[in-house]
Amino acid sequence: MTCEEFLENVDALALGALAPEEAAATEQHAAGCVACARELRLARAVAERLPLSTPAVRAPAALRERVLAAVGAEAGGSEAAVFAQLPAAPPAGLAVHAPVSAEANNVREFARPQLPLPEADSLAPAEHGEEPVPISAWRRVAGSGLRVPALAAAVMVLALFGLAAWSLSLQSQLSAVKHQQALARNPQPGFLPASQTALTLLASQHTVTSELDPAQSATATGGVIWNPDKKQCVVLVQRLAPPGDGQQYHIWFSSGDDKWDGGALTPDSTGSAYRVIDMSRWNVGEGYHLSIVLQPLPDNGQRQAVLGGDLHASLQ
Amino acid sequence: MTELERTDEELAALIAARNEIAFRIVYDRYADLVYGVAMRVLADPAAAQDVVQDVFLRYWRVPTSFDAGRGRFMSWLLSVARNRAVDEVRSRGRRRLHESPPAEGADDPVDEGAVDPARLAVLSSERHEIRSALRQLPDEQREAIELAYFGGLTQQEIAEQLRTPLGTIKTRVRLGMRKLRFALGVETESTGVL
Repeated sequence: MTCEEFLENVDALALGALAPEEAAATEQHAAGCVACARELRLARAVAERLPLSTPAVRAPAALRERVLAAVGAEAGGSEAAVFAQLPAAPPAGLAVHAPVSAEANNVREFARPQLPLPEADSLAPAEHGEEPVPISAWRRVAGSGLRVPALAAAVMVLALFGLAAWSLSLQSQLSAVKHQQALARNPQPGFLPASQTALTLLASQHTVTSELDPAQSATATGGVIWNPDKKQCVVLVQRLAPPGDGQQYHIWFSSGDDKWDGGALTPDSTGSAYRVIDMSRWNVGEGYHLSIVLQPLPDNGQRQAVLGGDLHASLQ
Repeated sequence: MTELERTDEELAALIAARNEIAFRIVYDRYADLVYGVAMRVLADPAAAQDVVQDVFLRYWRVPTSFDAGRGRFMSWLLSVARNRAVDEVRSRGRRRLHESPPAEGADDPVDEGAVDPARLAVLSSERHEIRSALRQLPDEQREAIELAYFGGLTQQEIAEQLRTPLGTIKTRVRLGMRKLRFALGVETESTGVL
């Protein structure tokens, strides 16, 4: 195969659209030609981005249980079912998973006192020699206490320490869940929990993502993810300068002389900020202008534009 | 750092060390995307679920199948899902792919565990970029590329299905892919790991 013939086929190869013998010949050429190997790498870099064009679809909960149970079974045999019953990983945003009852946790406690909780520390790779004693072994050893009292006592002490530490960790987790529930129960009016809304938008049809234009002398960059059907948007901004004393960044929607306050935007230490906004209560939509301004507190109308852009239902 | 802030590559390293918690996080982070890809190819929930299960279990069994030196975890995982789904299509005999994306009601967000603002921003940007790039292609070029990638058809099969000369299909694929390469800025990524 010549390089010219290779270039005829390379994109189809990356897409998996060549017959097997043709694919083999094309790959064989790339293996012996540096320039063509680079072309193949570039074509594959394009192809591997194509799956992202597909909307995410909620995978059934039963599927999750099946997969995690199978993994648990392969990793730890009888621990499979317990592992699958763990709540889904807690969200980074404000959304809440099913509440974890103390009763349920107690069941887990007795079933598997060595169960690692999803804390950061638990993610450290397990080291040899650190495997906890399975509960069945613990019972066997404890039951033979009259014959090997010293060993039984030592195991009992270790088990008690383990249970105490695990209980503390559990309380911490439960507290975090309760905190998230409280936030979800009392959202600020007009502003929705970030994670659920944002991903709903991303996975939905008719969602438009567009950049915001920086005002003169502004260094910030940003964009808006907007779904006109759902009347929700997410504003994402980077490189915001720290606001001065008595100042705050705000999001405004405007049409002609009418203005609606979309809420404050508080940058973190890196200058990044985001806000999920429910636009339905103002009926803000197509053709409206979105501005991010730096304004005094309290607002006296003297606002300094930072970023702005118009909302369009289709890509501009 | 919380567990959810760990990068995919950090989690992959932990999974290679047989950490089940890391695996669970990766599952929660990407199951919906993997399922979406499988549904796009198969248009069959039961078969798509089998693909999701197979992809994740195979990864657990052979975590070294992901090589961090050769690319990003998410791209790798979704490509594996696509390949596995296409294999399933081929094993059943050729069938026309589910051409349009799932209807509005079928869309669902990926798991909340996947959401932290930084990851959300990156994911959003990437999805917007590829969708936008595909939309800018002429319909016939986009159709040829999608039939190849999501339909698992060879160029010859696309030509037969569309009753179009093979040479024309090859040209559409080549031109479309070149435009995508330019639109996605891949041409500038000529050095380093892609």
